[in-house]
Amino acid sequence: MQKKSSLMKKLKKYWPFYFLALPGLIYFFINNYIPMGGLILAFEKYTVSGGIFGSKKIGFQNFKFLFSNADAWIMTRNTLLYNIVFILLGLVISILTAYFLHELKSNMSRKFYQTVILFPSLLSIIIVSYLANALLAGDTGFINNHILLPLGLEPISFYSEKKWWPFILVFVHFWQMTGTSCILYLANMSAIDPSLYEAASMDGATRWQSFFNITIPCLVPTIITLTILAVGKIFNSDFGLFYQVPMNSGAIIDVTQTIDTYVYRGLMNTANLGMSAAACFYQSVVGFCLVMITNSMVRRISSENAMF
Amino acid sequence: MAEVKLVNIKKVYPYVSGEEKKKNKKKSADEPEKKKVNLQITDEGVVAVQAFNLDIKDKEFIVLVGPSGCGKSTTLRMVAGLEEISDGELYIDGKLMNDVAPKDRDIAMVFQNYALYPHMTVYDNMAFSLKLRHTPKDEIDKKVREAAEILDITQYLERKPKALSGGQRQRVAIGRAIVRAPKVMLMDEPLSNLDAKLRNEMRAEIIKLRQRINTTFMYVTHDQTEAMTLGDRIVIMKDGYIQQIGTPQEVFNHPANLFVAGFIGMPVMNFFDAELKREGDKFFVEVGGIKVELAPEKEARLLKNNVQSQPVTLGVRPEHTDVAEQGIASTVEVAEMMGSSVHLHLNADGKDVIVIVPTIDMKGSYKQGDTVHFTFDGKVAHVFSKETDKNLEF
Repeated sequence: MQKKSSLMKKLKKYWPFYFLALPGLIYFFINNYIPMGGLILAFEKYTVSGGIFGSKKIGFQNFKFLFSNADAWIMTRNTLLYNIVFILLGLVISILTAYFLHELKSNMSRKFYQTVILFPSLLSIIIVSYLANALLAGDTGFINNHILLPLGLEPISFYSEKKWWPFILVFVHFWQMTGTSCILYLANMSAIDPSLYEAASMDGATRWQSFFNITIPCLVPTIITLTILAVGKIFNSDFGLFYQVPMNSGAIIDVTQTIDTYVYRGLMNTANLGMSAAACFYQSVVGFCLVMITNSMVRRISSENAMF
Repeated sequence: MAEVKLVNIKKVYPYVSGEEKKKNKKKSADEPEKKKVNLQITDEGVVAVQAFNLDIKDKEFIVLVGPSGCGKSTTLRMVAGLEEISDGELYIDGKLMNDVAPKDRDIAMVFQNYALYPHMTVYDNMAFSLKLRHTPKDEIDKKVREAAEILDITQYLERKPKALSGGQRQRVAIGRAIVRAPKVMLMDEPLSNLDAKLRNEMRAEIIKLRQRINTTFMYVTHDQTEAMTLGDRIVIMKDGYIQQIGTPQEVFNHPANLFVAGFIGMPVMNFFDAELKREGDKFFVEVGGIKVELAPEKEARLLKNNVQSQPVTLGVRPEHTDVAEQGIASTVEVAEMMGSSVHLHLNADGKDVIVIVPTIDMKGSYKQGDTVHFTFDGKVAHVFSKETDKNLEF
């Protein structure tokens, strides 16, 4: 009763703030919470006539189908490994890019390079896939026609040789995403008190010593937060990158198949909504567990840097 | 311990792209031309410091003082190597330091906002510079603990800066600076973030510290009390120029110009429009119907400068102004009881005047609207040129 009255008091006192928060809350409710009801599909054999609530309940059958499939290991391995590379390498690339941009003295140069780095992230993945195709295509691709052949080397059939694709996909990912991922680090670096660097230079630190002793420790809270969030999505993948960039080529599916592309292909071929919902449910649950585990690990090591 | 010599130092911040264009933008014919009000803005950029010449002796405590934007911090940062010197030469121990990196100048600096590394403990903050110099661990430990002992922060060595109060952080910042026994210690308004009580305490601590570590100090402040109490010599700056260099006593008793006279001393010096009269070898000032003869040593200096009769700005400090039976007539506006004295805020013919009356000399109390006469002695009157604002004795 007391709790209720204090909540009412708060609502009365801060109603303008709650009012301001209302559109955001409504958005979250409609966009993030109502669709959660759809998870029930993961436990049903969905039929259009039965609808979401009237279809036959089949327990964990959809999950069984998902994991008993021969591709289960490949898609899980690919999703995990690509994400681990994206998280680890992304951390290094984003921080270094942000640091180099931050170190530029000229505002003009900084704006120029930032725009150049950010531009690819504004491109649709379809355009990116055709840009990649323009480079990699067997007959008309730039690499084969203008680099390998003039050098007297054998042309490469990129879309049928899977050994190249882990590198191509990682390169395309960083080419496209570094601009956006370095922005947060750049903003954080700009917020570091410049007198810390001055004090370090008076103490005898070189630029790299300042980077490792001032910049990185000051970025640790951001690094941890972003890493925990990324770990939470470790079973998700960038559908466009893994489906569009390889041009849905069947020959290289062993290295481009991820859970998301598998679900999409499954949906296209069998229209099995239950299996797709099961895959998404699995991604969410595992992601949630990983966030909790990572956060509790961070809290044990350095409680001040934990998210909650 | 080192001598520091600054020769004709100048600092110009060039315009960044766009600013110059804006500045040079052609004005329309009907737009009135604005007068340049800030002398520091020139065609080459914003001049922060110019014609700065100073010889700092070994183990001397020099205080740079002046209002905001006068160039005192810029000068200190040029000595530190944090700002490039646009022109002139900087010598530390006889070596030209213009192009030497901060870490190779063997100087330490205490920053206004402490600049403690937030992720390091107090111990690590203090040990950082020694670690970078690959000092053996046991020696680092010995030096850090010695410095902590001096500053009474031993009990906080394992804490992080955010768990310390402002005063404790300031001590850590000083500790970090003294731990490697620098040749020159630079302090950039180190007490300005502290409250009044703590500032007084820390001021006394710095005086004690100076006696213990015995090195050359350059200290920047805008607080004249700090400048007067800490400095062996004070450098008073305005608009990037040195206005006067002298001991606290010298700048207080013999201000070089109107700015120094007004800046040093609290409450500020009273200024009057007066007439300086020369009668042979004697000099008098006439103000508010009274005529006061200047002291012989002042007359000698005016004579030496061949000063003639002229309208002047007369300056007399509130503590040198006396309430008397006869003198300049004024009315009491406010009487502030300060304990040992009363600060009388008077209105003398439209001019605000402050007179400090020791309570021991008071015959009664002062009320708003009371008529009071005040006078002054010829020994404590300062006469400034109306044209140049310079003290005519200089």
